[in-house]
Amino acid sequence: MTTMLRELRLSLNQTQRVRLQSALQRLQDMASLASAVTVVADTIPVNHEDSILKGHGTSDLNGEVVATLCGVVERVNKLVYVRAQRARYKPEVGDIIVGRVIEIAPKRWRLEINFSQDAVLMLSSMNLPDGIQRRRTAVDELNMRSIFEENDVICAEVRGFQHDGSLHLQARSQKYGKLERGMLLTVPAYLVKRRKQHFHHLENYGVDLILGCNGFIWVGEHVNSNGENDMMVDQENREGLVNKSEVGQATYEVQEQITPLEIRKHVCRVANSVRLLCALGFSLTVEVIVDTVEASISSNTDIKDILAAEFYVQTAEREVQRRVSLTRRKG
Amino acid sequence: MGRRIPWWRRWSAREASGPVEQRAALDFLEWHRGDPTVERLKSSGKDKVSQKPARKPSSFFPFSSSWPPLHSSLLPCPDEVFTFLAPTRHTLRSLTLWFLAAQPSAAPTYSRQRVAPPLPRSGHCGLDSSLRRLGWRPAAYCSSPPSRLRISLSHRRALVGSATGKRMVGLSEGEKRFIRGGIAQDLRTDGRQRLRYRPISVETGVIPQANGSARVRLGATDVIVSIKAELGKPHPLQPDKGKVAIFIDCSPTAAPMFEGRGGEELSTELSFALQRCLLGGRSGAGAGIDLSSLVIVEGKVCWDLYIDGLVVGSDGNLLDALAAAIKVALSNTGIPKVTVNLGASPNDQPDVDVSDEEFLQFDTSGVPVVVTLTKVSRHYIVDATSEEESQMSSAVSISVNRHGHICGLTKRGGAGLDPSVILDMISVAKHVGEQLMSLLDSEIAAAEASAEDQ
Repeated sequence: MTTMLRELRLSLNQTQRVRLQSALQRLQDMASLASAVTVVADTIPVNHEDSILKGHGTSDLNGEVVATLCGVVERVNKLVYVRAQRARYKPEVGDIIVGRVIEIAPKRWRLEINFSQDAVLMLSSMNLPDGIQRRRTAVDELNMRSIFEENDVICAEVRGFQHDGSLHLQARSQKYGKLERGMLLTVPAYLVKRRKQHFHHLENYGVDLILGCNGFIWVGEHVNSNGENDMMVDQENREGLVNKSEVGQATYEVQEQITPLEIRKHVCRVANSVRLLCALGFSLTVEVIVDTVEASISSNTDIKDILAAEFYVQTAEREVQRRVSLTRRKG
Repeated sequence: MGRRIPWWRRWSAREASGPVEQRAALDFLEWHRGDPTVERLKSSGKDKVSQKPARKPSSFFPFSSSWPPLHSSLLPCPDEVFTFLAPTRHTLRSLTLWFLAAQPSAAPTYSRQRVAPPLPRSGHCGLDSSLRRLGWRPAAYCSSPPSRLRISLSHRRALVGSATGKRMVGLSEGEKRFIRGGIAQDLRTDGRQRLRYRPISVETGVIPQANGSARVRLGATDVIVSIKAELGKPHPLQPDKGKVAIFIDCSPTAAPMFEGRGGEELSTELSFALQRCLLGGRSGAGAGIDLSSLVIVEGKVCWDLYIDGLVVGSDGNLLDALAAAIKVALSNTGIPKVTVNLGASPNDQPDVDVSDEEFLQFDTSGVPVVVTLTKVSRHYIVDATSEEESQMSSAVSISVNRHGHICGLTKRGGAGLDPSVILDMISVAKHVGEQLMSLLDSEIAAAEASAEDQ
């Protein structure tokens, strides 16, 4: 507990310290009831009468199965293994991930996704910008940089592992693709749980939030992902601009690039909430994030003070409340 | 114009027309008229012309036009490489190959664009760095098919390693624009204003073996400073002053680019900047650390202070964090009390008895803090993160002491600054420095109190 407090390295005053300590203690008590969490050298209870298979993160010590990692014990039929908490992301088919392009190779992009190897996005497994289904030609291959360049942040879906063990991605929808006008946050991958929905448009704030399963989180200004809709807006704009002078058009283009201050405030607030929850080690779901953002607004917390001591304490206490109410509802 | 031949085949294609290359060479000379290296090259070429007057007029340039191996933008290079490599056809060919091989996935062309400041790069690949020193830089990656050259894997890895070794934070265009826009709107990506520090956390006495030590964290930037006092002899030119040495080391745990010798350049840069900010001039005048308090016997014995900094986490603004850590560590430093028995004759080395129990507190009231103002597009910011530093045009580090006096000033980054901007920066740094100083004082007091509790 004290190590956790030291890790947070906050300048807490005495009352804040006591409050945070008690909140974290209660969270820990609740968690230890729920699941089989092990730390290094914990004995994993097994029934020695049925034969078991010792998997990853386990070892044999004096006839007992002992964990060699901190994590959660998982059992699949005979196999017993420990799923480590602080580990790299382990992809599963269908995961939505956010990654950064690190290399352009023939017919493919290589992406950094916090996996033990780089992911591959083939040119053939993504929709072309013109939206037409056709064979990819050599010209397309030459124009790959006009789609994604090095260092671009993109979101995609895990397609599967190839025979050679490389991880392939796909981006066959309008919602996947390049992410701009925002920022990328990296959190430990275990904080993001697999859910039905990973793309979130926080309508109250005009913010797009993409919780990549690999722990890369995109927070940015909302963009219309629906291609048709976008085009229509474009046309309207163009029609409106016909009457205006060229100067007007230029300013319009410039303004389009700059994120309005109001939206930027929301983006920063959401991003700081994510940072806060990550520092406290709470799992990141859109409900919790929105909850934190709303709490920060209602308590008139400044954006940068979200990461200050008082709001840490408040967030921890709120999480305790939330979990207590959840367990009550279940009971 | 001759036939259009893909440029990556030109060196092998005999039919590449001579006149084009000649014109490129002449263009080049025209472009770089007045450039001393070119003039030297020209004049040395002219000597050759005088020896062999029968050759064509363009052959004063040291390539023969009958062999046109190079793309025109690659062609002439006013570099010492050319002069000392004895430009035979063979070398030129290997040079071309080198250019293509340098980027295995996409061959860059080196354009003639001149960049105002020579880019400081350590010599990973000699040619690249010397080209860059002369202001050449790779043009935008061309969209021609990737190089046809087969490069052995180890070679490729070495090249890639050298290409990425110095890479700063990779950010996409959209993110860069977002960061710059945020700075323009006075709301940075972590919600700070332009002139706000990140929360600073201070620990003292982290290294028990040292005389004083401190760990300072600014966001993800994490530095440790230890101070060791040893008995030494004063410099003969300054017999009434002790000696202070500052060494900074960048740990590879902070960033992968510090691995091997990657961090050396930054380490020396930081050490120099801190020496300039804290130790005053070469004579030791105007030093933030009072050097005369380190003397035990004038001209004979003094304390040597070794200030060693270690960068454990690197997220921008290392200089400020290091300077703050040095200040905290110095206030944590206890110098052993000594009793001196002077020898019988004045030439004898005096006997010095170092006490184990009694320590003297070091006076740190004059030690300045460093405030780095990083200029990003039109605005300057305080305490830049590494993402923001990747967008900087130049940065000015100003050390301010308790009285609001400027003790040192260093500038990094290539772009020039208007003097009025610098004056503006100084007054801002003075203001910010006062706040930082009082914040540090309270943090030091808190850290000492918590250290006593434990």
